[in-house]
Amino acid sequence: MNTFKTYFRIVKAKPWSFALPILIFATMIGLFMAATKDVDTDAVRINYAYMLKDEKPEGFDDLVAYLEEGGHVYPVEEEADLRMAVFDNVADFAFIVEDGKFTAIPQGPPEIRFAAMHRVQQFAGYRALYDKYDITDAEEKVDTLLERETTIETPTIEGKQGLVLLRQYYNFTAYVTLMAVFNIMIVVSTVFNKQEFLQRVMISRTPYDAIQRGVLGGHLVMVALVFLMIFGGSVLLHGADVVFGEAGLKMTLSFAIYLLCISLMGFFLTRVVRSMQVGTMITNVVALGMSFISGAFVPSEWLSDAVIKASKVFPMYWFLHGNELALEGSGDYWKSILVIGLMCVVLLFLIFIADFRKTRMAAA
Amino acid sequence: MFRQLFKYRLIGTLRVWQILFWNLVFPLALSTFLYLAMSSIMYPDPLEALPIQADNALVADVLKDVEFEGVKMYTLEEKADPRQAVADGTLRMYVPDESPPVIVAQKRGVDAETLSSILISVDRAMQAVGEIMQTDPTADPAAIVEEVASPTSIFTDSGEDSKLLMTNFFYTVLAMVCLGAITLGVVNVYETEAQSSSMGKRLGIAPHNKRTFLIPFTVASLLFNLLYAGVALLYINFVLGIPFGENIPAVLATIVVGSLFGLSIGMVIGLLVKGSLDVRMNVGIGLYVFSSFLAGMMSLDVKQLITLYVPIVHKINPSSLITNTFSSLYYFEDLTVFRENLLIMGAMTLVFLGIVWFLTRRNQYEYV
Repeated sequence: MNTFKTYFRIVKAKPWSFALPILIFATMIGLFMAATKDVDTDAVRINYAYMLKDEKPEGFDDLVAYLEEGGHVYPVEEEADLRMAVFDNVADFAFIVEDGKFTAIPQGPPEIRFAAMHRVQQFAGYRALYDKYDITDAEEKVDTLLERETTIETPTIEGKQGLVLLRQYYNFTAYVTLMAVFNIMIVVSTVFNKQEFLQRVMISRTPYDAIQRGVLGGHLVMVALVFLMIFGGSVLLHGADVVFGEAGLKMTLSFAIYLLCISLMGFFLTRVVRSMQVGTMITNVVALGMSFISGAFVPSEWLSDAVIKASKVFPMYWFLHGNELALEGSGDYWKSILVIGLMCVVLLFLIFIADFRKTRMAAA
Repeated sequence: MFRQLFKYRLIGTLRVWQILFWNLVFPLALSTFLYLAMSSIMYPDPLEALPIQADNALVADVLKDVEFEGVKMYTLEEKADPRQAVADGTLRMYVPDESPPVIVAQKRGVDAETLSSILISVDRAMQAVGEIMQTDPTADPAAIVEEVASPTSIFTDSGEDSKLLMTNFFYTVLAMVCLGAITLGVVNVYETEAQSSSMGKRLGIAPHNKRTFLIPFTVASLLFNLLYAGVALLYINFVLGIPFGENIPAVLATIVVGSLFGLSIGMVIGLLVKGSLDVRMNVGIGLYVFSSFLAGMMSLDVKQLITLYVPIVHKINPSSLITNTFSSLYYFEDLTVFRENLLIMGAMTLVFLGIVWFLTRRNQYEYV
């Protein structure tokens, strides 16, 4: 019990080590969610940037209005800004308008350029065609023509849009929680691993493993608080109806097991690393490395097969994969939970071995 | 005295292995992870023909010939139960014979949207033929369809080569190395404070102005950071193959100004934040990681958000400034963005150095 109390005294005594990262991580989560709030499951939105080199061609404002139905359209004045718009990810497709002609900037994924060029072409092409054949009420007829759209039938999941955003939230917090949990554990364990502390333990009647159980208890309570914060955030941001639906609960369960797994990883790390600086270094490399190659920051479609194979050794991959399967309503979801569970068992075994050696050393 | 302090600062910095880790090993590891995560999107595979089924003969005829940039987009197949084949994944999409068109797909995405664009252009072309034939019965339906059905006919070729995508992520890592000088700046200040370090006590009793110590410290730290940035640049450019454009002197100038910028920020943090070296270092590291996050290191959407809604942050965020300068040098020959950003960084560096000058003077009276 004393160890347990000491744990939280350490946390209280080091506000810089906890308050600053929490503030930074909370801001990062907020910004990430704000940046990805427009993720739409119902249509691929294309943002355009254009530069007028001379007079606006006839009907250009109508074209812009038409394009804005499927995304944002940004006018820019400098050619440099036009390219920067694509490279800053503000626009998916950029074009120059000069002498009534369109010149596309050949940047961006080919599929997006195809779809964007097609949309521009449809509007401008039909206007020109109907004018050429002197069709009466050409503008209205083109508008009616363009209102015809293809219907795309896909398997539907109720409230999918909300679930996609919930998945984004959990995916990004996978990185943030890993950083937070590891950092807390390292800071506290460094104090418990100090020479002065170990000397006291040696002359105390409390055995070494009892103290370690107290430290583990403190870690687990801290992790439970982290879980409650992230879970509370998910309810606040996405609403109870999304979080407490079947897929939402599956993602939350997946997050809870993932959190348990990374807590055990962190605890194992504190068994083998004594220095706070080394621990912080390992934390940053592991957290960012795992997040990039498991697909927490980038869509999993971007990852090559070899990288996906390699990332299967990390719990983060199975957590993110589980969220994807929960979203699709696939039965394979439970397989990913099982894999993370197995990883927990392996980590417990490793912690047991590391602690067994330390207990013997302390006894000696 | 300059030479002596410069020499010992170099040796001192070399001994702090944490700086070597944060300023060199960590960014190299990060750029390697980025490369692993993004190699398939940076070097996208050419378009692959997707297996689809179309029930309408005319639509099927159009789809089998659709090409983009010289590559056929679809292969037509015939399945007994096409809806089930889509669900199984053996067929990517199924187009039943309906008007306006319908696509059956497992999920929405760029592939479904692209097919949707093609189908609706065929459908609209048919409607347009009907409309035009009413006005001009002599019109040639094939010519009408040809005029509007080609999805890219309205665009002329700009003649430019396509640039590599996603380089921004790697530029943020190099920006992070430049800003890694923050940690060196923090150490410089810490080492000159009499209340913080034994070196500071020794320097404090020397019959010299404290600010004169900071100059050799700053020059030595700058040299170290340039060395780290140089190694990172070589690794990212030659080992990972990320291009930085043709204007190498401008890239090097960005690294020099960026490193000096980072050093000046670090010295201000060292002076303003009180506490142990660890606390000050953590504030510095937190700042440059967060700055890199705002510049799009973890998500381009965050960069987009900042660019659109808080452009002033995009303009003064240290990592965004350095990243954008690298981007501008790669993406276009015009040096306007490069000059503008260098000017902003230079001005901010001068302001921070002014703050350092002022705060060092105050510290001298307070503690020594």
